[in-house]
Amino acid sequence: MIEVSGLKKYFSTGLFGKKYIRAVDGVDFEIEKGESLGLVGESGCGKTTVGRLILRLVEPTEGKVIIDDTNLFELSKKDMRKLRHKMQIIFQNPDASLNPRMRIGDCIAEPLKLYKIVSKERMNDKIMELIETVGLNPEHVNRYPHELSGGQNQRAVIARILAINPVFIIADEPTSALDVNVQAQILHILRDVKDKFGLTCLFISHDLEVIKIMTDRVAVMYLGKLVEIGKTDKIFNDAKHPYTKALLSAIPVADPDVKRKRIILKGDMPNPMYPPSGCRFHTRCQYSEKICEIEEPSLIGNGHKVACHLQ
Amino acid sequence: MTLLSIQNLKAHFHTEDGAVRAVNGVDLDIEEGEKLGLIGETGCGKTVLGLAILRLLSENTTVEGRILYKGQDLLTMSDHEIRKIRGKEVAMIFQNPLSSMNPVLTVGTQVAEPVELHQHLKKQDAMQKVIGMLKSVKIPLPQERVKEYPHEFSGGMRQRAMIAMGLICIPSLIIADEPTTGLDVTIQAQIIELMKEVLRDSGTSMLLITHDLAVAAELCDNIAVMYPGEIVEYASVRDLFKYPKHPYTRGFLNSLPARGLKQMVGTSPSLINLPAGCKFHPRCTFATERCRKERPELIKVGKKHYVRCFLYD
Repeated sequence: MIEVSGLKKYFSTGLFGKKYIRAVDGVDFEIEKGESLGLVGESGCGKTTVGRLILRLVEPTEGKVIIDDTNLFELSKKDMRKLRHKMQIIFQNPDASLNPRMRIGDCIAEPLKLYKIVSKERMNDKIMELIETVGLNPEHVNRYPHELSGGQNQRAVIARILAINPVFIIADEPTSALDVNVQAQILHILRDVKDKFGLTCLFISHDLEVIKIMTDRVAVMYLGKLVEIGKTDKIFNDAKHPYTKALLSAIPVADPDVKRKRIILKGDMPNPMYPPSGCRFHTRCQYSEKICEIEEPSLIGNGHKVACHLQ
Repeated sequence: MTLLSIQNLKAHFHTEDGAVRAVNGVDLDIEEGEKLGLIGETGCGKTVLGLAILRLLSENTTVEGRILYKGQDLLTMSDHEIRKIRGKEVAMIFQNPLSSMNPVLTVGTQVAEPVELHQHLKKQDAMQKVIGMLKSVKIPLPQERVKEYPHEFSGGMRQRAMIAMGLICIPSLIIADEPTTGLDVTIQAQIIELMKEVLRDSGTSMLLITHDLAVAAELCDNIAVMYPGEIVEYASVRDLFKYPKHPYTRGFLNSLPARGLKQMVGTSPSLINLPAGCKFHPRCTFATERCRKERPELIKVGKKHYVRCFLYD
């Protein structure tokens, strides 16, 4: 359904705009209809930029995003706007996604009016139906965002997104700002609405535990590039790339009886303005060899793809 | 030996909307060399408890009870005396190192501050000590990096510098408030391993305040679970994870993605408007008439395992 190929985004920076931050540097993947793909990586790896590129909230430097045989980047602004209601995004901070001066009900009504989804008479019923789908109470309709908790606001955001019947949703760290119990509630809602409306999802997160239960396939990103992509259970049980392995071993486990060997990576992620030569991970990789410094590995494999010379 | 003993601690803020009862009768002991985790959700009062120990709360707060550090009550000390404790005997590591460091002073100057203040070392000697300390928290090229400013450090490096600052006087107790929150998993793993190592080497006790059960499981010996203003369960790490007793602890554990992502109904009550009786009763599936009226005491259910719930009465 969605095909991303050769996607690049360089942000110019420096005094004369002559330096480039290579936020996304050649990313390819596709998402099947009804599938949920997870995109994981650490802060600064470019995962959020990928999400924004797919919705064309930022213009790409290079590459294509094809949805139902149309390349998004070739559409005019007007055509893009028509398509946009099919594709929606949930951001990390719900308080910032809702207008503080609008009541929750009005926030949800806005897209309904804009896209003329229902008639004026049916507006109230539709809002109530949406409110119920996300587990809010009818009295919340007349409240302002600051009167609700973070979890309730995130529910309202989801209700507003569902209002216009999207087919594709990007969830960018939807629960990172929430407590565990509230996180559990929101993830349940997301899973329910995904099944109910047959949505296709791109789930962006740094939290591997959340990705594990929410997705069918996972793509691991490091410094603007994908290093591994495959079925979720394959990635979690049989990771191939040294970075994926390190990432998985770094998750703290809430079980004192589990003893395991943790791979501790050296140093920090390099500056995306000056990415290392060859394999971008070689500066922190414990298996790094001569070839890794010189030649850039490509993402190869059948189904489960890895970008590593040593595979 | 008991290093810190918190007895019936209460901390209330006075606001226009009423009294915010952040800490409501907490009893907690920390032994020498013990690593105690204090876990709870946002707004349960865990950070306030940490700040109360070092008397770092604002002036509109009423603090009652006793906090005995090596037998002396920190709450009745003079300002002059408590200043000798802060940073030297009991140190603190905060969550966000960027906002807890002074942006216009070099990292070296800031890490040196406690030694200059408490050990009266000369600048050069203090700096030597700082370089040694930065080396032990594994900051590469410490002699160069002491001259840099906090914004030149990465998030992980800044947190290392904070840990160095906390441990430089070799305190008996360190209060670490969410020391790894906001860091990436691989960096968090580095910091967890580092903290294990430096605490083992220095023999320092720790009060780890966190919402992350997994981090507490890795770093602590014992865990106290806080639910608005009070401790609802206290146990060794193993007992807490294997045999959780309090309905809230169970719900909290079960809502972790790795443990089934089960939802608990409702949300934590506001600290201004706390329910009567057991604070958890509006959300508890086992609640009885007694829970609505009476506040349960901590009940001993095992060796070093306590729970505040009538189910075990």
